[in-house]
Amino acid sequence: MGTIVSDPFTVTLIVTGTMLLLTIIIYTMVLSIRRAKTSQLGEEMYIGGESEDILSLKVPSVLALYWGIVRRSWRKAFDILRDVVHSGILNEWYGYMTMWLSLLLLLSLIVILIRMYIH
Amino acid sequence: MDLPLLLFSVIVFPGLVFISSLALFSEWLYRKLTARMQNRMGPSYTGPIGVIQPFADLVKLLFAKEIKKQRYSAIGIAEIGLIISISSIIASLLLLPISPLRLASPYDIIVFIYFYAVWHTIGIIIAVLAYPNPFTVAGLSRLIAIIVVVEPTIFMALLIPVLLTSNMGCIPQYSIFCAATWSWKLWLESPLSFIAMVLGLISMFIASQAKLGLKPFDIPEAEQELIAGHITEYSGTLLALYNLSHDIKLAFTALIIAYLFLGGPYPYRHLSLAGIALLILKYLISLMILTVIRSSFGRLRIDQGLIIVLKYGLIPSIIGLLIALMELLL
Repeated sequence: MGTIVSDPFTVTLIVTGTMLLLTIIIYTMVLSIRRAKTSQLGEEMYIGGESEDILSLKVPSVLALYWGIVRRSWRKAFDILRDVVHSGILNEWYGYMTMWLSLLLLLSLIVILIRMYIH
Repeated sequence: MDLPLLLFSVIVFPGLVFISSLALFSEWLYRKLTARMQNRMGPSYTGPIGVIQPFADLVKLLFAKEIKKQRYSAIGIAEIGLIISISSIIASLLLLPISPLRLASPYDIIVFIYFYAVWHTIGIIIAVLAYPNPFTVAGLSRLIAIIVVVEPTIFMALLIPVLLTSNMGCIPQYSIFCAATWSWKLWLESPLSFIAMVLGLISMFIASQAKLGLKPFDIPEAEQELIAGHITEYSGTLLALYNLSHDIKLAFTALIIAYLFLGGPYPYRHLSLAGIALLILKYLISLMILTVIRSSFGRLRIDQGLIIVLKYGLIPSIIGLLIALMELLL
């Protein structure tokens, strides 16, 4: 038995580390159980993020004006955006966001390196 | 730091193994008590008086049932979300005195809330969003509406013992460890601290009931309206993980009520017979009160549910906190 009195940052780090360790342990256990037991029976469903009147009305309402205009005037851009970002699959959204954030991270690293080199 | 002791605390006691067993036992007790109150039998056949029924359910879901996959589902992300919701609660057990390795620091109430409220909720939300479906999204929107009211209530209720024990000179200040070890003294300290603790306890029970999604706050699941709400699409391992996460949350909530409001095993020591008996008794009392509330009410509408939590949870906790502050100033 022991009580460790520390500062809040150390405690947060230890508890976060513990949480990650547990997540890895439980996930490994679950992965070893789950394999080859998935089925794809049943209906597929698309849950649209667009409001209904973009699809139904000829002229969209004020609230849906932006997407209404994009959909009508830049059909191709709309299709690309919908297929890439807005497919409803969370994995694709994570992929998309990771791609952009990695690009930003890379750019910021390059800027820092250039700045360090100049100075 | 003692690494083997840390690993023991995280994995065996009071970590994964112990809290999972306690959670499954709590589920059995809660189901059995509810059934008896409603003149049903409850779990009866698996093990003595059905005590290992929740374990049997878990094993069946894990090993026998298959996961239903659809085009827009992300099983891996759903699993990780649910596992985060489980592990965040187990990790925050290290801050309670039940753990052989106790972590304490000044202001660690914030760390506790960060794991118990924030990470747990984020895990559940990630898991729910990984299986999109109209019912799931409707359930999730209700769940988030409830969380917005419940989490501040829990935070304020927990702040009452933390504030009062720090005022009494316990070190480290504003820590869960202090609140857990000294909270029994607050009931006898002064009339003001007694009133503050009563108000905190009431609001904690109401808020916990809503956080756990038990009746009358099972609004996100609402079978007759939303099939199963935010868990409609879950089956197999995912449903097993969700059920385990829910049970662990139930056990952990009863445990923090037993420690932070009812005083845990104190004034006896943890390893004494009287201490263990007292802790078990307080744990069972907390669990029983949650069960009695669950069995006595029907489901409310979302707006009614939110108003009830506001009226009987948030407002008492604010008044309790103000009284605690008065005690502090006097």
